[in-house]
Amino acid sequence: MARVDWAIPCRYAEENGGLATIVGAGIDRLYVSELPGQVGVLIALRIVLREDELGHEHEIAFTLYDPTMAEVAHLDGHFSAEAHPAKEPGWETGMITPTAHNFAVTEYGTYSLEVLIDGHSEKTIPLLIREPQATPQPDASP
Amino acid sequence: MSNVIVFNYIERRVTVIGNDPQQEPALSKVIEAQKVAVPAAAGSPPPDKQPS
Repeated sequence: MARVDWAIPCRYAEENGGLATIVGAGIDRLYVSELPGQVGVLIALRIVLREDELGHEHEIAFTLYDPTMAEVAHLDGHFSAEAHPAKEPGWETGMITPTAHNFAVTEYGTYSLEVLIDGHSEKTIPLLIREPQATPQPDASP
Repeated sequence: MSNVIVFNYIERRVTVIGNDPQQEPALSKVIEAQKVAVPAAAGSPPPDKQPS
């Protein structure tokens, strides 16, 4: 079954030559100064497919949940992948794809973004939406 | 620049930007996202339960 090998929330991601360049990996909170607001986050995905799954169409979908775990949005699309010419027999094919997610928030708290491949839940990414706050500074006094 | 799939939940659409034909294995296509109803904003009562 096509599956998500990893899904990394980050500040920036790109794929080049089958490898990912990821900056700010692991970001898990987004700051919104007023509600309702809009946020955006990048998620670097690596999807792996078996040999017999190449050349077929697959569905990728994301479901967004609010802090009460109520579904607030769902989007899906389709993709297919072909084997790399240098793929070794028996190896799965990996497909790295940066994805960008723009959504509206109406309350502070933990939103969840679920990744589904072919209708199968693969990963759920928590994203904490917070009000901007002054970062406490360590006491510098001697 | 590699392909980036943009999931815009506000406009309810999926697009691909930065299409790179050299990318292998390629993301061959992303079909227009199917529209799925987006419930009212969290905390808002459904229309039929609005206070009178």
